[in-house]
Amino acid sequence: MSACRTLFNLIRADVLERTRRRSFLVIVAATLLLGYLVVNGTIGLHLGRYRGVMNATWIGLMMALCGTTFVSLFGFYAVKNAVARDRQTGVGQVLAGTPIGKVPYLAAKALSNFLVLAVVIALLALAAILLLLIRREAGTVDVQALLPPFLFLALPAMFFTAALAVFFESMPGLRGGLGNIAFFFLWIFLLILPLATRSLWTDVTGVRLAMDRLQTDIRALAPDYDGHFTLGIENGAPHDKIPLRWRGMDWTARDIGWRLLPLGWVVALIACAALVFDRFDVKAPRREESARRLGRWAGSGNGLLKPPDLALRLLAVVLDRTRFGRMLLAELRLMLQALPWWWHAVALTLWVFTLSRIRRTAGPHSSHASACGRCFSGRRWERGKFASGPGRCFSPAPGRWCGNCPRCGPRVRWWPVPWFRA
Amino acid sequence: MQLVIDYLSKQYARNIWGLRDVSLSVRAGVLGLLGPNGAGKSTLMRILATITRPTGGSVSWNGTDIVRSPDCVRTVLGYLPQDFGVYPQLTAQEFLEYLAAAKGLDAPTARRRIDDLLQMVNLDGVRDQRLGGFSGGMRQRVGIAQALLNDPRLLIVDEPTAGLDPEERVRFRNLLSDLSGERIVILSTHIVSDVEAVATDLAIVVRGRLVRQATPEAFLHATAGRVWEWLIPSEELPAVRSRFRITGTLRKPEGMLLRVLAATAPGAGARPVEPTLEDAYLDAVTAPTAGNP
Repeated sequence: MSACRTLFNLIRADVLERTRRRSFLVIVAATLLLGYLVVNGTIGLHLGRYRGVMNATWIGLMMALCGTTFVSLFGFYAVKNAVARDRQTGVGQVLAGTPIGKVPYLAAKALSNFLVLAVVIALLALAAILLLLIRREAGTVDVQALLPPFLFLALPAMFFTAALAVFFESMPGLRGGLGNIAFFFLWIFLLILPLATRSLWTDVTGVRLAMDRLQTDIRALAPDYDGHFTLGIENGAPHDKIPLRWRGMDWTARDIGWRLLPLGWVVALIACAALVFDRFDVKAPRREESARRLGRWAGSGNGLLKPPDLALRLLAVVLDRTRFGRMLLAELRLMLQALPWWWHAVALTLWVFTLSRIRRTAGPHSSHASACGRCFSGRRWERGKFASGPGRCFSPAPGRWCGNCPRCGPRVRWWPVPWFRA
Repeated sequence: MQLVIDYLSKQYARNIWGLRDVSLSVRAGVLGLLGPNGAGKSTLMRILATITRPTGGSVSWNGTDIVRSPDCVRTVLGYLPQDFGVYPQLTAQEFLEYLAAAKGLDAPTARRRIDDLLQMVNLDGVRDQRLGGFSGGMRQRVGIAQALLNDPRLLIVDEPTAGLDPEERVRFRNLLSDLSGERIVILSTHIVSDVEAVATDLAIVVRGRLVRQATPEAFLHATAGRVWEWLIPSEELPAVRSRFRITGTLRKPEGMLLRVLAATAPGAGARPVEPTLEDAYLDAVTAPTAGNP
């Protein structure tokens, strides 16, 4: 019996269990939405005045970077339930009584996480091929040129995300909501750190490496290129930008070596996770604890066999309907008690800050100048009327309610809109 | 084959104990572990299954300390926890294959063993159905099958008959009887009739402490002469109940026929009867102790 077979079976069961759930369809749908947003140009890679010609290398890089950036965020939350499921179902207790070690178990969970995320990346690769077929400006449908960014940029990042999810699940303080919040800030930090330090050692997402290579190549093609590099929502119409034919990254052994670095982080994360993983030991089973606190009855003489000195009175009222108010109160109590007091305190504080923000954002709009840009609805306002169809954006903050035109002015003053904006 | 538990303790917090100074010696056969809810049976089971670390004392399997060397027992252990759960999207076959791999069985052995076990627990016909659609009793049978996958020398089953229908319950008891010859089976339950049929040894745990370990015969012997049948008028039942430990009541045309635990005859007309294991258990669990009201 080899360790590989054990590992294979652990991964197989975990992947089958996840992919057969309906929630997996939500992950697929979210991926397809991301792919669609890239295909229709809402999300893209921007280089200031320049853009890449839509060929296999450019589309491959763009889609892979979207994958590595966005899937590492929502993918983490999607897969961070592998150990928790074993804990909740009780399967973990059975596994804890088998000879399987902490490291193989956690490695199997990380690999299973990785496979789920790899499916997501594969879907994005398919979306990239689709994008190439629809919006190709030059070259052929060259899959060989399209795939390397997925292989060398996205997959190592997914492996890192998969291991990080296992680490968070193993760490007692990071299993719950606090861990989810902490990861969001960590995700931002991991994206910013390599850009700020210009170091590839911390570049788990591969964005820094891609950016360095891309900027060097673009400077060679356009000497006045200012180094602008943005991955995100379209800022300005693509046809206003100067297209550059980017020949793609030469994946040298050194580059591939940098991209193997996250695998080192993966090993370190699993090793750290194994150190803190409790192997499904429980600190204090609540049932037994409460029984001990309540339980003077056990072993307390003939009290066990005596009925309590209490007679239930007959109900004098007729139970003819459900008490909605009481039901509502009970539901509220359930909802509030599900989270600790500090969570509610933080939520309340944020809510109060949000209200103060509304005052600052909603107030000045009424006194704004009448000139209007392109508002959130995607329509252009032309002196009191709306024109359908694509239009040029004049607003300094496109993609938002402008607050000045007749269409969105009243909406901004309607309080939920600034509340959501805030 | 011997399992020795020596002054085993588990303290969860300052004043919260799961177990206190439990000492047991277990040999091949079925040890019935009895006790009320929250007595510490599951804590003891989890320690023996190497899931929970004790805070005091030791447990040795054939002379090896299982806390220091847990793998010595994990390789020969079959464990069915009280809250046994499954992966609902896997079929019974897939789930057992998964656990067989975790237990270190090679593929051909696992396949044969799974075939046998699914037939034994009467789930052969639904082996390709997803566990999410199984009833509680069917899932429990999957739990029993997984515990037996590696032909364990030490089988620990915590409330195994919960959710089983009477027929399956009897079937499981017979299975335990058949298995017990060449291995140690520890059967934890608060249902006395489950252990009555199969246990070769009994241990009663109350409030984290071992009250007594003995054979069922010794328990019965200790209670002999302390169980009475007493026919009383129905209206006297509340008064009698407050004075005596009553283990059973039966309504008769003449009044209420009680089974009473008492050192002497509880009243006129009471006659001594043979104790059952349930009487013996209730006698041990509810015996007035110093410090308790």
